[in-house]
Amino acid sequence: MSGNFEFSKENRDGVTVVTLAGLIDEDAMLEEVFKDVLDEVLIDTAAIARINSCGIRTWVNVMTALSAGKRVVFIECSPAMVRQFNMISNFGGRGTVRSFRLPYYCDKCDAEHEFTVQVEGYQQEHPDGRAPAYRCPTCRGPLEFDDLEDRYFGFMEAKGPESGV
Amino acid sequence: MGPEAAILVPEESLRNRVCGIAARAGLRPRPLSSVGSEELDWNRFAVLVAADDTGESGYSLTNGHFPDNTVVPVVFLTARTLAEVLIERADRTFPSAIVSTFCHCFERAAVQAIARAAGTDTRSTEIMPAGAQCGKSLVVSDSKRKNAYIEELLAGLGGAELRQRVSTAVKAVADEMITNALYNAPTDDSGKPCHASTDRRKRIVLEEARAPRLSYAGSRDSISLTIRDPFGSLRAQTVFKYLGKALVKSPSQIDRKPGGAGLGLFTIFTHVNGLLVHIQPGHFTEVTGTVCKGQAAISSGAEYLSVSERK
Repeated sequence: MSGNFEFSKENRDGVTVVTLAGLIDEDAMLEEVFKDVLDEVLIDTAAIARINSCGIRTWVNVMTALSAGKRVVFIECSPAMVRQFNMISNFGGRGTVRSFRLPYYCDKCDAEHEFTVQVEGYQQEHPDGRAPAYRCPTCRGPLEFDDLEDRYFGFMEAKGPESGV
Repeated sequence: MGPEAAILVPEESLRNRVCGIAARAGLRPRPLSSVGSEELDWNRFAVLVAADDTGESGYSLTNGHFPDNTVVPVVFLTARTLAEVLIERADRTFPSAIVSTFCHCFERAAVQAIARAAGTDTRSTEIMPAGAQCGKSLVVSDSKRKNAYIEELLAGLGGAELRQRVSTAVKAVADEMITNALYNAPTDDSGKPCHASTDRRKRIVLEEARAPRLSYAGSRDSISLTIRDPFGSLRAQTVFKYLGKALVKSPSQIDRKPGGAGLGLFTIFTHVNGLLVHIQPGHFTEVTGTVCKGQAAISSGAEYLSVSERK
């Protein structure tokens, strides 16, 4: 039983693009997902909602092995993934994060929203470490950043563009 | 008259507050100006409550005076995060409980932690949040039904009404509680682990008498989950050591081999506001996690932690 873990994989212009979704747990079979990939791998985790402890262990092992011989780039990292990058050593192996998602909450609409930002240039644009301001797409009211700013952006510290993690 | 609690808090207003909390926990607080200023008979104290408001570890107050291997349970109130304290204490004896003074429910958590450490509260950790609707529980016996148990639990908590962040935290906590209780907790008659090194993809089914029970309840403000297994194989020091190790980003942070309860406990720690562990060796282990609904995400881990182990 793999819960709602889903993935797709395709080769485009010499790059293998792997898109992951749902829950990464003991049944996610990550070893199979990353078999037979090209030398450059783009991993889209925008739709990863959660990763459990078994998933973390497998993920770290798979990413360490994968990034030892290939260029691995993470894009659209979901908040669940960003939290792991912040907490777990070597979570992405030698891979780099190109873009990630920011979680926001609208108190008025009681709705959660996410926005994607690029790692490159982010710290120059936001040197105070604060999350950028966004408005609710529904009510146009100001959104509240739905995590701890002093922690959420930690994975980018002392890293250049495309944060190594 | 309740047993005596040693209160080691230099700052007067905070000391008065802590004495009030100790009294609410059913103890007679005895403020100490310092440890070592007199020959203290530590056997007379049910608990030592240490705190300061400088942002430094309250343990610094006891350095050189209070033996690390004391049998007197210690409750440490800190103005720092639990993560910082757990890392700092990684190679030393841990207190029975740590409560962060900026915890949203500091007084309630501190009363509970002090009472539990002192033994004036020997109830189960199966606590329900204030104002909770009646709790429910389910027997968790089959590892392949883990996701079904989690869905049942969420439905019982009105999952559709919960914010995604809260429901994700509840799922994460339940997931790890169930896995640890099914794979790591069971021991045979000699105390040897039965399934700790079993691949988590391999199905485990426990007979009902040996199966853990997962209880849950929600209030307007928070949700509590408790898992109780009938083995009592976890050790209090192991809980602190696991957490202290997993909180430091280093190559040895997580074991590469499958199995082990450490990463699961750490994952629970990072999704709850409060974590309580109650162990009676050989009889039961109870782990309770509380998730606050209204708070921002808990990126640095729980704000209060209480671990009690009683023969």
